[in-house]
Amino acid sequence: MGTPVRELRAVVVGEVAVGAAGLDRHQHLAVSDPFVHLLPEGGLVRGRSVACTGGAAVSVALALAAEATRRGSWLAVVGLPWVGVDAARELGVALERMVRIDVPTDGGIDGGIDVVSDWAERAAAAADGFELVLTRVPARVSERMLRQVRQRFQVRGGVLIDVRPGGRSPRSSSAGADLVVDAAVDTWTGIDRGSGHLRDRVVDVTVTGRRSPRPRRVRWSPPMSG
Amino acid sequence: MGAPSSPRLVTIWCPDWSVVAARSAGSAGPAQAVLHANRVVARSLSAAREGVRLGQRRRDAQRCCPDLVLIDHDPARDAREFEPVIRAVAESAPRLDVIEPGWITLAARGPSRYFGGDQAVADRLVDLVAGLTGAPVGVGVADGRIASAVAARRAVAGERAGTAVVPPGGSPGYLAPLPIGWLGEVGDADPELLDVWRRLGLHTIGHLAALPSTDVLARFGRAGARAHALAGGVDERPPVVLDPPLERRVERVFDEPVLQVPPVVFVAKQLADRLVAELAAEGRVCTRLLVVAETEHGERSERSWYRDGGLSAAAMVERVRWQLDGWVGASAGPGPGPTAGISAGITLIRLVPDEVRADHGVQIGLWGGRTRADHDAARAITRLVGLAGDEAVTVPAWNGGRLPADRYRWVPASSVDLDHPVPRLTPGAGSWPGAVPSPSPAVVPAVATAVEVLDASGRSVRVGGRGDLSAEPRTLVLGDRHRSITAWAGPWPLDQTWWDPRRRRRMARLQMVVDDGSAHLVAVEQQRWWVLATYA
Repeated sequence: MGTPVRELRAVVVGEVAVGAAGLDRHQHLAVSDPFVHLLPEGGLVRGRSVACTGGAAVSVALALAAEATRRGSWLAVVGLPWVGVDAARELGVALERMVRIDVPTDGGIDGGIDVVSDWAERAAAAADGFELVLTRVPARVSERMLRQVRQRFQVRGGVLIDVRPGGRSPRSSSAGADLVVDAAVDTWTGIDRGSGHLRDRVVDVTVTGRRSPRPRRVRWSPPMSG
Repeated sequence: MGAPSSPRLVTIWCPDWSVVAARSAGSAGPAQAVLHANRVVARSLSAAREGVRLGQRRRDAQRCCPDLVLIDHDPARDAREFEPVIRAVAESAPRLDVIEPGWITLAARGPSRYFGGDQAVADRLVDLVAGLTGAPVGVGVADGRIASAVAARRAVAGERAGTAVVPPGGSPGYLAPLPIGWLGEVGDADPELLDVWRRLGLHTIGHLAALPSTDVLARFGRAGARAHALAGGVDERPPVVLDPPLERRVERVFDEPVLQVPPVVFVAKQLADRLVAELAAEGRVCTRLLVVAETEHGERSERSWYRDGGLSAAAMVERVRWQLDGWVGASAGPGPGPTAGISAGITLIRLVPDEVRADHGVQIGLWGGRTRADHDAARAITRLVGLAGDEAVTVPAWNGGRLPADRYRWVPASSVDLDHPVPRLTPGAGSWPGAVPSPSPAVVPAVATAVEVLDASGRSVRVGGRGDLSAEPRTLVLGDRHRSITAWAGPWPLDQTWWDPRRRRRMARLQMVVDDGSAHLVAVEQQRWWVLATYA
């Protein structure tokens, strides 16, 4: 009985799977140009996690998510209330499929630290329905809790993008990620001492992964408008 | 009799159940409407007379009926209030499927034999349900799920006291003259697909049924073929329904009996995820799910939940929650029956996929309509709003402004129509000549960070009345970190709301690149420096 069903499914997939991103139909989510060649699998593999580090971590994270959102995937931004909407749009994110989910903080300095249990609950709930989840894994999260959240992504086939703005992340935080995308700003152009304005930047992107021992590098100029 | 015959089914339909449920739970007023995601999902009879329609926006509904009492959609309340109805019906027909609160189907054969005919069963059920709810009800009997469901809905306003019986073999003829939209209403058929057919001139179910099924499959894929089968009054059981093997059932036994619903629901979530993943790996989807729960004292709740398009893990969990809320919470309701409520903690939860079939992606919009991803996201948003509250789940909306934080607002996702995002995101007609040109900063905190900007001699840089700097900025002090400024641009003066002296803000903006490569948008207002945003 298994064979006819499988055949029928093949027909259906061939006919129906147009651009729409069916949850379990494709092995990975598409990425735009420089990243196609940079990522070992040519896209974001479902169920896996990516850590973005370095001075342009947020931009590179948004750019990684952009192409999939344009093809129908939804993007949840969990616990990053400061994500710039204009920047997301310029980097190609389809704003109509972007949702921000806030996580309560403990009210400390620097905006406070996310309450870990709330973060885990919300990230897991987002994994249930969003194919892309952009978040910052709290430093204090326990191994067990993080494993549970990751498992949820594995079951649902979503991609967890862990954003760590600022300098290189400490080893511990990105160690669990399947892929680390480090984005260091190399140069800004268009700006001088008192004239012009920020126009272009060149970002040095390095990808390392558990499954790809040799790092891959590319110099990337973020697009200016979606 | 060439076509595969469909079982004879009874459908019980309580129209606008959410309103009935809200009323039994104490909500008052004649004209009421229940809203979900800012749209009317149910309304009372008097609201309907005032012109309140299903799917209408909140504003429009209030416009046609200013006295309208608005009620938030609460599936748990709907389920809880429906539980007594399920229980009463189950006494005469234990094997019933709940599609959703307000909608039950059951096999006609047994009860019909017992009570002496389809009409007698229908009359009896109308009396029973109307007696319990005090609200309108429709009962339809027909061959096949679709005809039976349509009959029940049409019976509500029909002349035969809330009943409609379609004679055996009469379903195709009964459905043929009806508008094609019914297939979406009761059969989960893709609305986009129905739209395409209407544009092609297929206005009635009969028009569609008359097409050769092979052509429909070839042209419109499985989703089309499925709708076509529904149009012919045929339930899509054979040949795609497979008997699920016994080991597919998933269950959890609690060593410690659990008295609250949420922990059990949490476990059910894990079970449902596992079940759905296992089925999906075989390309299958569960259409009928049996949910069984038992307490330490041997009390048992067993319900069968049906969904034409297949139950996702989230849909399964939702149904578990409905069932448990109704069961555990029943004793709190009025008129406790002998079996109402539970007397001990729950010790077992079991999910049994009673009916599975090949998954042919019913929910995927063929022509760019709602996709499965859209459905999943909408459901997750609802869940997240439940967890975190309206204010914590937001989507961007164009606002306009010259500062990064002003250009988009974040509005609660529950207050907007996610299916029609264009008006929300389209920049308005106004232009903002003073805005800083792109690229835009990726980090835009709601609250700016106070910083210090120093000149070569370590003094704070000041801005004059015409936006001129007292000295070249050299150092940016962020907390205790001193960064030397390698490049900067500006200042660009900004005079906001100059017409209102109390809200007037005069500031100058600068961009600064510091020695670690990071770039910031900085503002100075009344000689105090702030980082507004960062190009991270």
